[in-house]
Amino acid sequence: MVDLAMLDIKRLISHVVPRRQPNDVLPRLSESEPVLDDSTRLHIKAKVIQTSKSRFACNVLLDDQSTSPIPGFVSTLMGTNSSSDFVSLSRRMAEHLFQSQTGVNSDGLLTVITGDLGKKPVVALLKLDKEAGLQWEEVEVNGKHTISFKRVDGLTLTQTMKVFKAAVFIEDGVVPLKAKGIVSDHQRSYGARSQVADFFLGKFLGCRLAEEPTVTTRKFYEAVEEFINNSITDPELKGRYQIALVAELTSGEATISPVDFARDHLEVDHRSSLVSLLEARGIPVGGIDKDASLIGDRLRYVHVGFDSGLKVTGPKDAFADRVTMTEGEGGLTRLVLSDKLKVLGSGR
Amino acid sequence: MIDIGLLCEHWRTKKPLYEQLATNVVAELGSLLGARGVGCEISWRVKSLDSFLRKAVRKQYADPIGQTDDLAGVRVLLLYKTDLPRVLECIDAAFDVVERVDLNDRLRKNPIGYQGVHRVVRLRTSEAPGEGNPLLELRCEIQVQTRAQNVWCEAQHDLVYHDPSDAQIPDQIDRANNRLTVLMELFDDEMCRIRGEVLAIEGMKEAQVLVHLEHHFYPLARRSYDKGLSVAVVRALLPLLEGQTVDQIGADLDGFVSGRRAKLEYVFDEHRKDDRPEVLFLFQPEALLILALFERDRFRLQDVWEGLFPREFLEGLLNVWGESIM
Repeated sequence: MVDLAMLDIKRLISHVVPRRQPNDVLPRLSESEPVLDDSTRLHIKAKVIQTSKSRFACNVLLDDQSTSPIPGFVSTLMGTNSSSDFVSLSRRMAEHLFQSQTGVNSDGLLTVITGDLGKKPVVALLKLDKEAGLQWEEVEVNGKHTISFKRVDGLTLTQTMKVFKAAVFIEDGVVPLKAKGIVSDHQRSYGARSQVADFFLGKFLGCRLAEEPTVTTRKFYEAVEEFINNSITDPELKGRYQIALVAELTSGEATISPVDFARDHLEVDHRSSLVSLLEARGIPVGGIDKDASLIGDRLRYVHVGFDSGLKVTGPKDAFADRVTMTEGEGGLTRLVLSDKLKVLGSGR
Repeated sequence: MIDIGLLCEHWRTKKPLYEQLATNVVAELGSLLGARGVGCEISWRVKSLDSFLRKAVRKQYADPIGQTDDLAGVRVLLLYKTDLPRVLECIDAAFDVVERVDLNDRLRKNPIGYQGVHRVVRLRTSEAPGEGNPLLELRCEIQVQTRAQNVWCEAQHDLVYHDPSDAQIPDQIDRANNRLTVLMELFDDEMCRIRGEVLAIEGMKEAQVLVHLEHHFYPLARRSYDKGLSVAVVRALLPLLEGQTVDQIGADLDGFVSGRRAKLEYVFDEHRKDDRPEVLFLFQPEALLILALFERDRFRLQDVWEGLFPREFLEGLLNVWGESIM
């Protein structure tokens, strides 16, 4: 993942993009850049960083086969310093977002940001929701001190509010269309391949994942299994972690967060080592799209092999219910299997 | 005879330049002292018009403009007088020193007294005065004092109802003044001694770790910090460093900082005027320890932190580092 600590935000503009409705209310497009004070700039930068590190963030490339105009706009913005170009292209991005959306997509702001990271141009797009809240104020009523409230409708990017859809593109001379990016979309949790989930990444942004989820999922599985086999000596923990790994990969969640996996399933002494191993293997630790197609067979069964040649194999659920492994004396492992005997034979 | 009109005219026309000179001196000195790990406060002022006129009358200057060296004044307040040599080295390295006043020299005759150090400086350049930059013609006085010396000086201004060179001061007043001076010196000496002894005590690990952190913090932050908060945070995080000696912790910190110096300098520069509450911890030395521990084991760090301090502060610090609590 890219380090955005040294991102320098230079320009920002926002446009109102309403929800598509039968009596179409059109986008309200800004005509010029606002004045950007340091405090606002740093606040927005912090939100961009948080979004890039969320479990819904993934590495992407601009898709040169896409019909979306965004890749072209991004490329142009990276090559221009002109304020009028910036305003004009951002307006076209907002119009494209409006056209791409359906009545399902919420209204909000499209915020377009340009800047640089080191010497590389950066373009970011944030779709911001707005919330209503209450602002409180200390006042005097009839000479007495009290707190009054006032409803405020246009709140966005509050301390706890997350950015549900965002994209950050950085120039990269090596990849197609010369930019790589990070896209975060919380709706991807509802099904990695659904039309709803694909709207932001594919239809609006014109991007594709930098690596197929099948490949990343397999890499994650193999790295964790390697960690369990090579770094964990306690057989009970080995068994527990293996079952947790299989459960994670066969659950209904559309994404995996390796950091959450480590936190939820590993002992505290092992968490950091696993995350370090995954990072060393180039596997994103915030979140990855899950697709276990390449490893489906391997997830159905758990295998335990011993030095003597003895092997125990079984469906993962049966393993969890009927097998316990503990550390015995002299570095041996005790495996206890409780089940009704079905067949006993000999031969290879 | 003093030409008041001339002095007023000089002050009014040159005041913006003196302000610029003083801020330049503060910036240059702050950067150098920070890089040398000297903890201090640096302030500046341009002498007010009435103060300028009063001094000219009191001192009976023949040439008040030429003889007043402190129209632009910078004060360096040290925590420990043992830092004085490093401060003087920085001043000598950064500026053309026009005049040196070491009040220690006077003490050879009278062993008790104010030990402050003053330097009158010009900005350093290869351009000759009078050519090009008008700041180069102007002088700035840098006073270097400890906090105790500063309190003593302030008190002397209030106590002096006589000419200090007057040999007819009653003995009891002289002795009383000397006692104040001795107290000042004792305070400074004890500050240094206590600091040294605290750092040497077995079990004062958080203080010793903090000294290592300060060494890297001051060049980056260039400001003072809340020491009580730092001690509390370092103490809370020490269990994550169990089994390591202070020297090992220091070596790890050295490695962390040297390997990320460009990023650290960028982050500190970017947030120097950032007053958002969530970045409060960036300008505390323990920020470096927190970031190092996050790289080493984010899970343990988070567990310890969230048990004791608001999560928002950890998230704020991690965000400026390009990270987030996932």
